[in-house]
Amino acid sequence: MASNRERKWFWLSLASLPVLLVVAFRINAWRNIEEYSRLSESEILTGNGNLDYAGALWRLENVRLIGDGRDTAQKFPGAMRLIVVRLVATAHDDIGKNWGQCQVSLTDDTGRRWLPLEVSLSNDISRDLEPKADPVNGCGITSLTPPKKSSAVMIEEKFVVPADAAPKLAAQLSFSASRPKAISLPLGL
Amino acid sequence: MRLVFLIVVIAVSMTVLAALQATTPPYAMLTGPIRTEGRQGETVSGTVFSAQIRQVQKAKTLAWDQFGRAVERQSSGTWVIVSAELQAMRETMPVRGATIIGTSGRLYHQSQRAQAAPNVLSAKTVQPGLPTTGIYIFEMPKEETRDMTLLLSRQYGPQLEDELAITLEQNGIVLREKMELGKNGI
Amino acid sequence: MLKPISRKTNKAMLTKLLAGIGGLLAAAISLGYSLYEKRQAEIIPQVAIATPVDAGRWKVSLSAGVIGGEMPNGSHIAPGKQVVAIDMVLENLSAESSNIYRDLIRLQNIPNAPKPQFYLMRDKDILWDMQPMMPEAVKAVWQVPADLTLPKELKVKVEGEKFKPRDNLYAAPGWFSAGSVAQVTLPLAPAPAPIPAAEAKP
Repeated sequence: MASNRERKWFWLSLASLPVLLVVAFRINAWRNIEEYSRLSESEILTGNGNLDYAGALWRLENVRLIGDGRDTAQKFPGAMRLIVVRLVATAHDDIGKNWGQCQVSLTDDTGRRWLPLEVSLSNDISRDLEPKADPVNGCGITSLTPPKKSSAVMIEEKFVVPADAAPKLAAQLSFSASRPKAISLPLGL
Repeated sequence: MRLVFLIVVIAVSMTVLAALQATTPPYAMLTGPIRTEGRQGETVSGTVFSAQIRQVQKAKTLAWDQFGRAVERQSSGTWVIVSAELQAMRETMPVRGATIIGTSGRLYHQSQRAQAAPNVLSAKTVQPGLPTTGIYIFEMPKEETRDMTLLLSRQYGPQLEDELAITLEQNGIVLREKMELGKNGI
Repeated sequence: MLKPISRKTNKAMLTKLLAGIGGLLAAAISLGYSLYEKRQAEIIPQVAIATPVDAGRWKVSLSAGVIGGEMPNGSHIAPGKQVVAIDMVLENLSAESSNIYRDLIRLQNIPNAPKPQFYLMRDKDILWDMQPMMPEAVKAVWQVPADLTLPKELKVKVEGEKFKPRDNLYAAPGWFSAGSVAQVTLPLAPAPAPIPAAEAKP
């Protein structure tokens, strides 16, 4: 039969198995959590102006609520309203590739989320609202060529929301490299 | 004696392993949809969206206007037009996956032959707080329409996501010769 | 009885011998099986024109081969290309709407043929999903180089698929390639201008 030495190693290996298993599970879980946190926005920085995020200072430039006949003569059926949000970011750092996978949404206090209209529809609406001006790019397109250090950029996103949610809305923005951190700017409608 | 013991151990372990293998739920089932069942007329709510089926109609020919040009689509079976109201509870989302389980159990996806028709729900996006109405259009053999269940989901093949299974009523469905699809539905 | 020392070597010898025999046996079985499969694959039944072929997931009967003419939906042909088309009746035998029919038919005697585009003759438009139990007249169109000399008749293979209720990876149901199930030889006739030939009426 096996020598004492072999026997010792056998028991040592067997005893270390649970420890190794736990470590393996930990590492795997940690990776999954990391990946999940790249998708979620759980640490939210709220403020009204000049929020420092992803190498830039962010502020709300302008918000329009269209569809109730006040901003434009246009009246949308039922409770449907169009919200046009413009944000300005002034870079104070070299951004490089840190603005990848931009996520913008409007959120209310009950946790509902409205995602922006897709690019071609958004541009069509821009041309209807201001036929002479070029449409302002959304976050997705802007993030491909972020502003240089100490210069600014404006982004515009459009949302369709119900009228009763409008007073409670905040614009929420995040980039892949900075998630789970995100910024939230109350629209104050 | 030792040999008998060995054979018994092998036999037992083989049985246990076979039992484990036979009872393991397949991956496809573990990661399958989260199903909510209901009937036509009632609001069927999943975790992220809900649907209410208003009306089901059948027609031999569909007709609509596409950029001012009249389009007609005939079928060797029948067209089934389901009008529905959708609500998103949490987040802006599409409801693109729509399938009818026919009488035989076969699955009929929405017909792409009629995807350009007006008011088709799979081309719309549902915003939270704004109920969205429209239609889903299916093409299927007549004998498959005697017993129908509609499956709705964000996309086809939902995994760990909502799937609503709504039994469609048979009463009051008439087979029309031709149906005009307008901007405001049916 | 043997002495303990030689008993041990004997046992080792026996183990090695058994392992060797096992290995050789496995190799022989595997070789025999692949030879058998190859032989089976070579025997593909020749099927007459317009005869329904059950290919597992699809039932298809090929009715005519056409050279030239326009695309069924009126879209233009790419410059430097000509059209080879096959008219057929196609039926989805599976239990779910499907558009996985692009690998169903393989041209044997046209080199480097691209994947065909399928058209639904009822709509004169691109074919998307085929619904189960609803056969339709369909045209498969290949765009091949215009300077390619086309054969007098098209040799075509129909590729079969078989259903597995549990696949080997995810234990999920699915369709898997099952080799060629039929060969058809179709005469190639020029399309009568200007409408595409052999227009199938429902």
